[in-house]
Formats: sequence, structure tokens, C-alpha cells
Amino acid sequence: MSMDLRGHLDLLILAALRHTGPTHGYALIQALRDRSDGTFDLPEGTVYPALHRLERAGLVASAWNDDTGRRRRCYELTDQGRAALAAKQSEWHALVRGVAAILTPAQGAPA
Amino acid sequence: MNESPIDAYLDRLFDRLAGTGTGGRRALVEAEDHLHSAAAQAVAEGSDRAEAERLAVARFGDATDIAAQLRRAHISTADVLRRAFAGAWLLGAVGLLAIGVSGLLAEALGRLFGPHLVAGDTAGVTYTAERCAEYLRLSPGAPTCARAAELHHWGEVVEYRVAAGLLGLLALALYVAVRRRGPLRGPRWAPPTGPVALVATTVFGLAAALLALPVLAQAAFGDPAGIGANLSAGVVAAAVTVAAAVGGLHRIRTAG
Repeated sequence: MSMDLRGHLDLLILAALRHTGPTHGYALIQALRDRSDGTFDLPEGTVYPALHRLERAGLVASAWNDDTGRRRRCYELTDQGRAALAAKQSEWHALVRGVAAILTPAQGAPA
Repeated sequence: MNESPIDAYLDRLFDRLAGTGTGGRRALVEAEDHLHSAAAQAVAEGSDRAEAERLAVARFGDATDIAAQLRRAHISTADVLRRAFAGAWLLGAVGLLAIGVSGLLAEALGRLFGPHLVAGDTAGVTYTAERCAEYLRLSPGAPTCARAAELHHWGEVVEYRVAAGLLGLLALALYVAVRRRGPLRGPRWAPPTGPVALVATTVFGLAAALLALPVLAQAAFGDPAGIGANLSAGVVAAAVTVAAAVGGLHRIRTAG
């Protein structure tokens, strides 16, 4: 199954980066796919514009790395990115609680 | 030899990232690494090389979409304003230059067919005594009021236009200088080719159409007096329209 991730991609990338630590785009996409058990099967190239946008916003930092013999751009969270992730997580949890409250039938109400 | 799917994809992405500068170049390196990593993984899992590359490209996403997202990621409002400024400067210079060329064309028409064709008044146009006196004062050698008015209009149709053209030439030379060696060099100040071609095609096309109307009307009524003024401007506007449209289409083809 794949889901429409528009609007949530920044949160997912920031969260995945917190989990993986400094990493390059390909590994980050694999982490997103693996951690979501295949649910988030987005066009892989869309992660790079998102990473670039997050970097311009100061939420991630990047540098070239050729430790593996291949020149790769590695990304990591900045302090500002960690704070933004915490804020986005709070918003997400509030949204989930609100949606769940509406979707879950109230006790005693007809199903 | 067939180009590999990854190379073909990177070529398409490269074309669509024109003007994005460092960010686009970096994205291209990342895309290349990503696609080769994905293909290598697929080969390791048993796919043949060509199939692995096709799969990697398909999973990466449409080159046009990815490039558009990268453009949005790297082009800020300030970038848009910078490029719009450069485009407006270029369009303004070309517009003034076109006016100048239409002045030269009007002069050529006037020399070939007489100034009446370019600056003459249509039948029935009359002037007040005060206006005639003013025209005759400005052109003391003119034998009649109509001839004096014609000389005055000649100045408006030819000399003012040529002066505008010289201003356009100066603006264009300055534009080329600041783009090549001045503060406006580099892709951040590159005018957006597509929008500039579209605006030029629309504006000059409309101008050509509007100028053609009185020319056709005068031709229909068989009164050529002053027709050269609109004819010269219309011909130049039409030529610029065609050039802008061809340039725009070429840009679409190379990007598409």
C-alpha cells in the first residue's frame, strides 16, 4: 500500500534522520520505506527536493562525504531541526487524537 | 550503442534543472548516486542490468516533476524577482530596439515612396489656423500647411523612433555587459527564457495585430497617406513575434 505523503514528508524526513543519524538520501529513503513497512512508497526522487528545502530552512545540514569511495551528500538534523521535529510531532499527535476522537464511536452511541 | 536508462534520465533531469545553479548541480550528483545505488541493489537481487536501471528510474519519479520540486526548493522570491528584473530589462531593451528598427524601416519606406506614405495625413484631416502657424513656424521652408504637418509627423514617426532604438541599443549593450562581466552575471540573474518568450510573443503579437487593422483599413479604402507609420511598426512587431515564438518553441523542445 502507498499513501499520499504530501504535507507530512518534512516530518517523516526529520524523524527518519533523527533515527538514522547523518546519512545520504538513498539510505534515508530505504529507512523511510523499511520503518513504515513499505507503507510510505513515495517516488524516491521527491526526497531530495524536500531535503534541499529543509536545508535552506536551516532544519538539516549537509556535507559531501566520500568515505565509501563514492561522493555522497550526507544530511543530519540541526538543533533547529530537532526543535522543529518536536513541534511537528506534537502537532501530529494532536491531529491523530482529534481524528481518532471523531472516528471512534462515542460510548453508548449507535455503531 | 543504446544509452543506458539512467544516463537518459540524468540527461532529461539536467535539461530541466537549467538555471538552478549549485543546487541543481548537487541534485544531479545525488540523483546519479541514488540511481546507480538502486540499480546495483536490484542487480544484486537478480535483475539484469538494463531492467535494474529501468526500475531505478521508474522508482525515482518523473524528471519534470522532480526538477520542478527542486526548482521550488532552490528558487526563492528574491531569485524570482532578480530573474524577472533581468527579463524585464531584456524585454524593454528589445522593445525599444524594435521601435528604432521600425523607425529605420519607416524612413526607408519614406525614401522609396515619398514622405507622404509615412507621415502624410489621410484625406479630410484639417488643422486650425493656430496649428498651421505652429507647423509652419517649426518648418519655415515648407510651402504649405499640409507639408509642414508632414515634416512634423516625420519627426515623430522616424526620428523619435530611431532615438528610442538608440536608447534600446544602449540598454541592450549595458545588459550584455552586466550579464557577462558585471553584477548580474551567473544563473541567478538569468532571465526566465520561457516566460520572456511568452510575454514577447503575446505583447508583440497583439501590437502587430492592432497595427495591422488600420493598415488593412487604409489599404481597403485606397488611401495610403501615412500608412507607412503603422506598416513599419507592424512589420517589425510581427518579426519580433515570430522570433520570440520560435525561440520559445525551441526552448520547449530542448526542455521537453
